[in-house]
Amino acid sequence: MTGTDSVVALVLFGLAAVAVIAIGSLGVRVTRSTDDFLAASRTVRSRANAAAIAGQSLSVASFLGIAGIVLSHGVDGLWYPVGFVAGFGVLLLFVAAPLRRSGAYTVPDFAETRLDSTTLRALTTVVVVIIGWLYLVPQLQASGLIVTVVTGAPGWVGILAVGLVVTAAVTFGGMRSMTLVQAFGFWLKAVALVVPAVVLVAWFLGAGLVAAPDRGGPTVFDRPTTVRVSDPVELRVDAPVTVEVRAPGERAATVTWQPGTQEVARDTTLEFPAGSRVPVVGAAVTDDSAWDTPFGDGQRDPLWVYSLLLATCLGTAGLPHVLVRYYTNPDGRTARRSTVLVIALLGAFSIVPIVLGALSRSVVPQLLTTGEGDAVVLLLPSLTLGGWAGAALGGVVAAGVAATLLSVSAGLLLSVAGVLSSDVLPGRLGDFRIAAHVAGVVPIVGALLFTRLEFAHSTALALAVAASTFAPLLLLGIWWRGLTDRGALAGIAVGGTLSLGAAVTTLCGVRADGVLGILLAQPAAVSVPAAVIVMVAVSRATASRVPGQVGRTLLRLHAPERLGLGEMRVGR
Amino acid sequence: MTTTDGRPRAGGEHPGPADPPGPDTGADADPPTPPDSPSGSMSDSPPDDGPAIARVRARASGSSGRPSPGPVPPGVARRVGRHARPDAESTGHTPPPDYRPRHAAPADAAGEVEHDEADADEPAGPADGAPALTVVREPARPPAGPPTPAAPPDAEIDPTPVRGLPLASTFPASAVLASEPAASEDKRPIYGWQSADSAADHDPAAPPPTRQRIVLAERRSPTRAVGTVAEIEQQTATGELLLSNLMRSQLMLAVRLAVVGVIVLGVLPIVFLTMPAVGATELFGVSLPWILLGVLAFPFLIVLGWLYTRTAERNELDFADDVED
Repeated sequence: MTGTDSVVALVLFGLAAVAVIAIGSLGVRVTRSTDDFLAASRTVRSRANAAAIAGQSLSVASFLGIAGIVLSHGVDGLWYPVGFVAGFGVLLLFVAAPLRRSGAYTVPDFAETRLDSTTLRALTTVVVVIIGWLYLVPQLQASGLIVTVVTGAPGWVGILAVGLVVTAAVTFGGMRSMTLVQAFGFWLKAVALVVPAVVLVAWFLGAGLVAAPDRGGPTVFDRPTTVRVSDPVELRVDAPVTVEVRAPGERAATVTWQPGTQEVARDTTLEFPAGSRVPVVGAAVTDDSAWDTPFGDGQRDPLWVYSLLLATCLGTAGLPHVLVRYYTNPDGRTARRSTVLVIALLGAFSIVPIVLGALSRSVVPQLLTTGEGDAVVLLLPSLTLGGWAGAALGGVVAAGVAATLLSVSAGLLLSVAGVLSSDVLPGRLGDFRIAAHVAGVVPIVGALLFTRLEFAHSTALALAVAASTFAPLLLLGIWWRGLTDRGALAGIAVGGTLSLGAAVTTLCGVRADGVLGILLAQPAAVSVPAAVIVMVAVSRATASRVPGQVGRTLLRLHAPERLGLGEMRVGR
Repeated sequence: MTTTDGRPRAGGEHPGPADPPGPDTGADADPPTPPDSPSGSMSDSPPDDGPAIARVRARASGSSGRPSPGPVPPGVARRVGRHARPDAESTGHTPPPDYRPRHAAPADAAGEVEHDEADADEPAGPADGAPALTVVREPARPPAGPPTPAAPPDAEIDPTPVRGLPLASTFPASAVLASEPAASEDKRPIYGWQSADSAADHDPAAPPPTRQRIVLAERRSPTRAVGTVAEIEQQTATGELLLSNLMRSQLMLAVRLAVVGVIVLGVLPIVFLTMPAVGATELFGVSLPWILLGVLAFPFLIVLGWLYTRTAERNELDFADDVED
């Protein structure tokens, strides 16, 4: 982005950020106690709550990541949005209402209520914090990418700026305001996605596709293209490419890249002639027909799909910052209904980035070269429409991105800080603020250190950890009388170690080939079954430790509130 | 340790305070407080006995005590009581102990909240002149008046805590959270009582009679509601059977729909891999996998979710009918 586009985008980005924070701080006036601070007094209306949950889940993984992954991986990338939405299906079917009726604020609360073990509570607390941090990393890296794309500044600027702003907002806000923020954020994102999408689709139907070549064959630049690389990239070249390279401070030189990898330094400008093959960053698919066909380029196979689906389906049900939203539903029935609403909203807003990502493949393949595929939604208007229309639409998207980044990161930080303050530090509001600072600093450091994966991928890794730890705990805890504290501890330890090990390895940039490579990049296929098996086996072995009150606890989880059974009038 | 955070943990340290008669059920966070309060250190010291009261106080000090330590501007302090009230009022109209039309509640509560907001600002204004603590407390009380009248009589107070406590006490952690509403039911009468007696001045000596009354609430099972509800709560064979049936029907329903989803989505990768022809099929100029995964998958999931919600609610209605018959 350059010139006017940048200015407009930056201004609207800033305005949206200010609006989000302003809404957040308006709620401060009604924050009176830690109860309100953490769970919005459980008086939030169900529709607002559905929008808030959807807003929470429509993270950069959805807003930017889906379009990016579709741009780079084509039809295989579609499994990500399907999995993200299906996750709410699992949440609805097995977890939503009982969890709401359990009346616990957080997963550790639930674990302790159900299994009566403080050790388990401590372990789940640690896991909540880890998942929150893992999930925050892509959000913050996205801020870095956006700032890079808009201003050309290096990535750490955006990471630091957004990270610190969010930490401050959470410190002085509270979830009463966060619910408003997220509901507002959701609708801002919706507008920011739908309006540009409609305009762009109209443009594609009118002018764009005329210029585009037929599908099939290697991806090529269909016209002379100038690409400016803002961050250093390592390009994968499949066929010889002739390119004019202009490095900063050097004379332009025309070189021919041979197949292999090619490193390009920061601030280099590359000029590709029409018809030359598109060199890509990372594992992006380089052939259009492979991009259009399931498992076309051989990088993915059904094992990867199943692993991904396992992670996303179960992971959503184990995401602490999504679960904490369920405590703001008035009762189990509303919890179910708002989940259905969330599925509908998320589904609707997954289709839009899919369409944008698919259309952009033929029009702006240069994003694959700069490694900015995840910013495609933001860049598309100015790259295609240009002029004032492009600038305006780009600005609208930038505002949506700002709302996404701030509201989702704030929600995550809030739940991490909430758990930290109530279980690690003695819980007074002052301590909550300290916890919020701690909770904010760690992911900022992580975002600076870890490799920037595709956002959909790194989000799925966080989901894999949730799926291997909390999902078995919740599912077995809600539906199986035989679960014991020892079993839960062992299962979470095994699943957490496996999935976290793979996630961190992948985030550190390690790659492998074959089945091992797939499982390293998406560990759920191994870690989830392992966690469940260990949990069940150990519970069986320690059957004498089944809590005596299990019947009553389950009654509370499953009986409708109106009977007043098992003291379920938690909501008010 | 403050109440909100103390409670869950306290429950864990004392896993089975299964005996409500025990003086501090799940409210271990406060054992120090009961002795304190009569000393008048807290302006509104609630009576000190029994878990019900302990929890009431936990709640009360949680909601009002918390903001005061910080440099909270008067505007904030005044609102302190505002949300304490919806809690109480929504329970205020639930006294019939054996049946709670839960679903009717949200609308009422919401309405009340709005009234409260109007109310809250009024009484708070005059209170400005009063000492700081008064400002904090005042808003909670005057509005407490209206719903109260019915409550103070002993007969009214008895059943509610009786229902709430025994069960709550059996849940270590969040059961205590769960019992908060129950506590606030008690709180209503207490505050009402107090505001009547110590309206002008906080008289720490006033409360004693109230204490006595709530102690009666410690009796539990004899006054328990009779019938199937009680059977379920007391986990008789019938109750267990009903619960198992509910769980089984809900689980079967969820599993059935999940299997449908897994089969439909799970079979796609295999189909794509083994039948390239499917992947090459085009509809409206777009190849089939794109349509299946990028568009149709979402309505499919919505339909599954909608089916589930409908049937699950019907299962619960059936259960409720069985129980209430």
